[in-house]
Amino acid sequence: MSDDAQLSRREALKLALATAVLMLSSSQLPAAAALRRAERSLLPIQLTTLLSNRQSAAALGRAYLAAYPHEQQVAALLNQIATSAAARDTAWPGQSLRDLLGQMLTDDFAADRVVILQGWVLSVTEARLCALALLLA
Amino acid sequence: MFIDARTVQADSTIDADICIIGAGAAGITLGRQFSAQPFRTIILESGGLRPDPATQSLYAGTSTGIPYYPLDAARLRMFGGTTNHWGGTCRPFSAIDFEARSWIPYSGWPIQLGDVLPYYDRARTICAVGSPTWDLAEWQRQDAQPVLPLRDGRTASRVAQVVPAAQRSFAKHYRDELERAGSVTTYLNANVTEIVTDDAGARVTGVRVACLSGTRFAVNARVVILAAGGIENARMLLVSNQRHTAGLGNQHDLVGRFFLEHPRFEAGIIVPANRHLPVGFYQTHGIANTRLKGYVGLTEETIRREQLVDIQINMIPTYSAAYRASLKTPEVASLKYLAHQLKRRELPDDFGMHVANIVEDLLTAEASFLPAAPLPLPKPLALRRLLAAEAGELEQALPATFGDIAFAANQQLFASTPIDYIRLNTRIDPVPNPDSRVRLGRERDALGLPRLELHWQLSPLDKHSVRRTLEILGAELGQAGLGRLQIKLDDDDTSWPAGTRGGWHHMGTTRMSDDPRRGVVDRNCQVHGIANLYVAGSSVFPTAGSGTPTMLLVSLALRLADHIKERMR
Repeated sequence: MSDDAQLSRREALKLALATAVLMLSSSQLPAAAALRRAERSLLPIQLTTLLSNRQSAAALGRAYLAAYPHEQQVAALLNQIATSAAARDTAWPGQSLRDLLGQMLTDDFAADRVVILQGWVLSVTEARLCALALLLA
Repeated sequence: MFIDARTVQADSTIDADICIIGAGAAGITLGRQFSAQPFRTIILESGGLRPDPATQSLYAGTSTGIPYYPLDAARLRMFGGTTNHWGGTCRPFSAIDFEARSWIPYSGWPIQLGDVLPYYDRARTICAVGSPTWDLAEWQRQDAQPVLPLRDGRTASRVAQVVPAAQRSFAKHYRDELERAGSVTTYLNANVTEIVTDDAGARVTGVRVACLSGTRFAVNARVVILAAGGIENARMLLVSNQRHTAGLGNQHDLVGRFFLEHPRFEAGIIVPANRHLPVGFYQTHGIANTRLKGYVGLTEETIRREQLVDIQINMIPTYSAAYRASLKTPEVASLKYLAHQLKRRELPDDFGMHVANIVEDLLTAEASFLPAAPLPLPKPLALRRLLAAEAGELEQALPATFGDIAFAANQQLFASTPIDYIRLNTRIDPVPNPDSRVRLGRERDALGLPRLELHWQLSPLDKHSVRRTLEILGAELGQAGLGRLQIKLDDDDTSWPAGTRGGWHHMGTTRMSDDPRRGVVDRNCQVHGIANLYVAGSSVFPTAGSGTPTMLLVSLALRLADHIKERMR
């Protein structure tokens, strides 16, 4: 994939991720109304699983940001996640965001890209998603 | 033949070719091996055939460092020794356990697994372990319980076998045989107070014996074998200090050092993605006539790459609150109690009360079923209530509808009982530590011998290995989509959780090495510098190992018996 194609893919992922996290973490969905119906349904099962308990996600997000203070901005987090996603050799948006994030989690664990937050062994991607949810809430 | 040592003539001397000190797993194994031999063997056992508080109190001592069990509770001073309260779990050592590993100081045995393997299957039979098979793949072909589908290859499930409780005591199994053995005489209530050497201190000539009744006598022997247990072996060498003031075999201050246990503590939990995650393989379960229990550890390749000690992870599921509550109801308790009593062919005095509890619970369902129906059909109201219930509510509704016994039975027999979380109990094969030791204390026992002081210590690599093993397992669980793992250990590798316990495995205090500066006994278990004194049992282990000690110490006893028989020709 060319650098330009990777860049635009990363930007698209960032938007989709932010939207998904925003929709789950906020009771008011100002951005959601503007989305197409198809995009509204792009909710990764892992996000749902993780963020269905907002308190847990917030606690883990807080712990992640305390350990990695240089990622304490939405843009920084989105960038990290989207960069990881864009580097994958898969054709997104052909693959659903749900599947993409699921695969990223699997790959993180396989490559030992884990963080230990409050003792929990988590994929770095899911930890960043929790941090993102905390910042966007 | 069995003789009560209290009946021996005071101040007499008994002659023997072989004198074995202790009738536990090692001593009994040796005695049995010598029973058909053309030389006379004496076994001196401190205790009798039943536990005796006064004898047991000879084991009392003190401990410092990591809290340990009372020394007179973790061992049994009677015929059969600690096999009389043995937990029965067996797993053989692996080849890596015998290796000197660069990242584990003081590791390495002077023998290899191959030196022990010829004796392992005989030891397995002696210990009443059901099957010669330890291969996981072979067991999985017959086992209805699957292993966790972990894909990464850094962890592996392994198999241990559990000897049924009724078959664990060596006293029960081998007493009759030893009693009939013509060339072996077992003296009960015979406490060895000193191993005696010649004037040069280069050969043992025999032992001194004292009974709590006051009787004292001596045994002369050509060969003495110390088989008194992983802690007491060291004590016997240390108290035998008439010629060697530091104790026998202690010219390099090694006797009593390197005390090893298999420490264990709860180190984490798993929250499964699916509450019906099958973990039955990791509980004790039966296949044919064998009791198996699985556990998880790292592969050898991972251990080498990460430079860790071996950690064994046992999984203890915590089931749903409703299921746990059903097990605590008086009705289920009555059913379990009666089943236990009837198995022992005993009728309790309150039999009627327990039967009433059970019947009343079984009649719960009667109210929920249509009367006089040809098949057990639930009443419409009961059925509606169950169908409308959410998953969590259903767990509450089932016992109320069908009774606690039916609910508990259904969960155990037919349903995969929902798990709330899985506790992870870890067992460590620790780094040998010279500062973990037993030594003589100031207090004296009823025979005038110094009591022991135990100082139990572990090493930072031990705790680091637990944490790293759980990190790896957590990553594998995440990769397989099975759930998430939480490590419940802090980052301080020099401190230990409050619940750290041993496994009643006492090892290392007379460790084996061909170099007398690094070991008390050589590869044949002979004490360095004393040609006719040997040590049997787990005190000779230089490392605790990934396996369990009983089968290995019996294997080493068989190997030692062959060596002695050859020597006695």
